[in-house]
Amino acid sequence: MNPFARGMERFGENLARLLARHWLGLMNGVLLVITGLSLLAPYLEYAGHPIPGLLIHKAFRLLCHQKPERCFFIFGHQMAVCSRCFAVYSSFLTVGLAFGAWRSLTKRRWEEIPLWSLGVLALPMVLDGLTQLMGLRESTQVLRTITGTLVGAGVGLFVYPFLGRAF
Amino acid sequence: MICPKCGNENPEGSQYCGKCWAPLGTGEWAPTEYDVKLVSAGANPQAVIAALAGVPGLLSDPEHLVSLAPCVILRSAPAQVAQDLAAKLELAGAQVDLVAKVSLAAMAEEAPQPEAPAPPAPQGPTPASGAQMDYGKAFSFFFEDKEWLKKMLIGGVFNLLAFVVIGAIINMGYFIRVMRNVRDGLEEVLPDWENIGGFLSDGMAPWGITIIYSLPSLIPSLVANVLSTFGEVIKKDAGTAFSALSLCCSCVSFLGYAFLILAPAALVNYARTESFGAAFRFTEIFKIIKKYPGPYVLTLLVSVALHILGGFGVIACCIGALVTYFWSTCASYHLYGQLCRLVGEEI
Repeated sequence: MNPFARGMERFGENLARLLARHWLGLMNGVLLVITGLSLLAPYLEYAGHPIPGLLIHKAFRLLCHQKPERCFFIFGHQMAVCSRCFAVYSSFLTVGLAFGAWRSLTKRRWEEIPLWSLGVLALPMVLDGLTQLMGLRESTQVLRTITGTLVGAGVGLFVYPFLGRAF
Repeated sequence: MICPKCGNENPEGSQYCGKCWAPLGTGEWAPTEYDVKLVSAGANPQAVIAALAGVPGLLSDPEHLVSLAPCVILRSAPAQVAQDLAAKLELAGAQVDLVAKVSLAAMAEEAPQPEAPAPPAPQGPTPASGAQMDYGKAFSFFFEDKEWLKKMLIGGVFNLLAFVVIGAIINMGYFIRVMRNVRDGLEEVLPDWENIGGFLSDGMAPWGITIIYSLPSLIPSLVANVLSTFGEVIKKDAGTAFSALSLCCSCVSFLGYAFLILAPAALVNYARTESFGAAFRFTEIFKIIKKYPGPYVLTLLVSVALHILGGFGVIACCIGALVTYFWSTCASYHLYGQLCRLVGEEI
């Protein structure tokens, strides 16, 4: 095998090993960045740095509609994602952190919730979103937060134990 | 030729076990070293501890290891040593798995840590524990080919032609050939670019599969973009209706990404059976993922990383990305081919 190929082989093995070992840290890191930046954007605008705040808003447009009437305002400025998205990401992150703590503190297994219960947890959000979309009613910030939290937590409760068993 | 993993008898000279698809110790892929994994100590742990006593190179003392099961107890042992130890332990009632290097199980479990190993699953050990995936090979096989640069450049040209679809289909034919070659354990994995017509006809079905699988994630965001643009232009009642609908579309695209996660399993099931319909038999697809969660998830993660790596070709005058993407896609399909070999014929 030529040296370049050998180098690539070692690189691939190390990369796979890194992902297999640190998948939880990676996922938590990404979610932390998303939730952190969506909180940071309004703070930056409040603290007199409108340009970085605007950049975060622009970037997060890919994730969320950012309609002002559906967003939380902190420091007098709009957060970078809507209240529902923020609830999904932050509850997903919370479950991820809890899962990490559980893994390092106990030997016991954390069973994943069955797939159908994920559907049950998603149902309130689907109903809330659909009835709002059809113009039957307008949702509230509290409802968006609660239903979003259910979905984020549900996804975490399914995905993390599944991955924990996989690796 | 007796398979070291499942004991099945195979015709002399075969590279893989016909039953469990483990490498048999011939050809390029043959593992020379094994990790010995204690899956469970069985009914009589004391006998297992006694059997382990005095074995050189154990990762910890026998009692500790038995209490940690399932865990790797001996790392990178020569095949003979590993098989002898496995036989000895099985005699004492233990359940043992030989994991060929490089294996996922060995990657995830460093030296036994008190908190790491989970108690054995109620349905018995998952086959993933004995799974062999060679992630390094997926990165290196391309460059082991004598004419890799030429093959990569030609692939880059077809990537450039991808916008007229035909280039994408031809390249897909090439990728699926890579996958089949890995599945069949061929020595020369990277095909020659001589039969482009063949690639074109081979690529149709898998190209269709990947397109269909990416539709749920593509269409909603496309529709959402178009609708929200309309919404902004019209600025009337109809406008708000449009933008409301586009909101819904961006939510649906999340579901689309969930669909995209299944695509490699669909390709594996297609290559396994060579039937287009197999790519949409969801019970089989879920079975594959459930049976090999570790290799599958890690393959997904590595192929995402490969995709990002492929993007670095942008540095070379933008067009370089077309060439590097060709390499990174080949590497991903090498992994899918390995999955295919792992899954084997029965599911």
